[in-house]
Amino acid sequence: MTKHLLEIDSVILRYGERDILSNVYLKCETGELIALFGRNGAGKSSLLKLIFGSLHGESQSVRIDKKYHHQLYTTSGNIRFLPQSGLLPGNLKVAKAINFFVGPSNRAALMEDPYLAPNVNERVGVLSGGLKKYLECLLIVYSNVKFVLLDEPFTHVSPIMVEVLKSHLLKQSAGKGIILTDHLYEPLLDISHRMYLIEQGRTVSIEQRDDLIARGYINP
Amino acid sequence: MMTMIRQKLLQKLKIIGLFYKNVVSYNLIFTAICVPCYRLAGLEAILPMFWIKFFGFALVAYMFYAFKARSLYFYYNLGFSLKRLLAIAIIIEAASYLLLIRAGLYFLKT
Repeated sequence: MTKHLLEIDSVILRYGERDILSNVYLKCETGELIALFGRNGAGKSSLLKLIFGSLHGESQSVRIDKKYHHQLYTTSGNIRFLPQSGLLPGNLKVAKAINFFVGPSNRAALMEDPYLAPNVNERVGVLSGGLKKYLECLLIVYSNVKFVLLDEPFTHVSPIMVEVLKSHLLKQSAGKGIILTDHLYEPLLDISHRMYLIEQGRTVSIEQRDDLIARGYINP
Repeated sequence: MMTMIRQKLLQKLKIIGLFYKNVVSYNLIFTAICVPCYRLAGLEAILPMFWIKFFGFALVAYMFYAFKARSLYFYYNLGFSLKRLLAIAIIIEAASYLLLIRAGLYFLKT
């Protein structure tokens, strides 16, 4: 399988007088699962939006296989993004959402998923918050694209579903690059191949849990 | 190959349909306001109707962007940029305006 490389650097993002991101370099290859940590307001979501192309800072350079993209999401087959605030309109039926996002080869797997199967004819708006997040996460992860960005995919999801999501993410990361962030850091520590902490606008490489403790992100 | 292209096109049309239903359809209120104007003033109402539709569209677009911008990620993920969505909305609105005038002319004649 051909490897692809996503890179972002030269980022300057300010909100008013406040510098959010200033010295960021991040790369992700297909087959990798990368975790981003950071305190509230550190710029995790902003960084994902910058990569996706829905947000532009004073400067940024987003490249796939060394090719610059101004608005990556408008290019076909490259990227999908699960925003923290949710993705699907409430009046859309689950089955239709699956058809919109997922290619024919993966549709059956999602339609037969034990959590989704009983709800495929329901509208997204009637699903519980956790099930909606689970559905949205699977739609993005099973999309036929090279890279996937997930902003808080485990928040509001029950522990048992988090375990299921982890296995889906691991399975899909074999063929695509996944960058995800969540304050539920334990699942991220379990499944990620590489980790970064965003601190004072910069990305700092993290090797293990102790580094997060040393940098004051979590308690000992 | 042709089936794939047709399926992709059909999917894009469905997404546009959803966008119209969820966003642009609010502008039908302003189209509805135009109908009695046309009935009362006939062809003289065309310019005021245009401005009603224009400002109505601007208001709907602003309200949506200010309060429901997050829902745009659904369309972004499916490859539609904000510019493209706006262009689609303007085309639909222009078509509905022309249709309204055409229908009005027909009823004025009969």
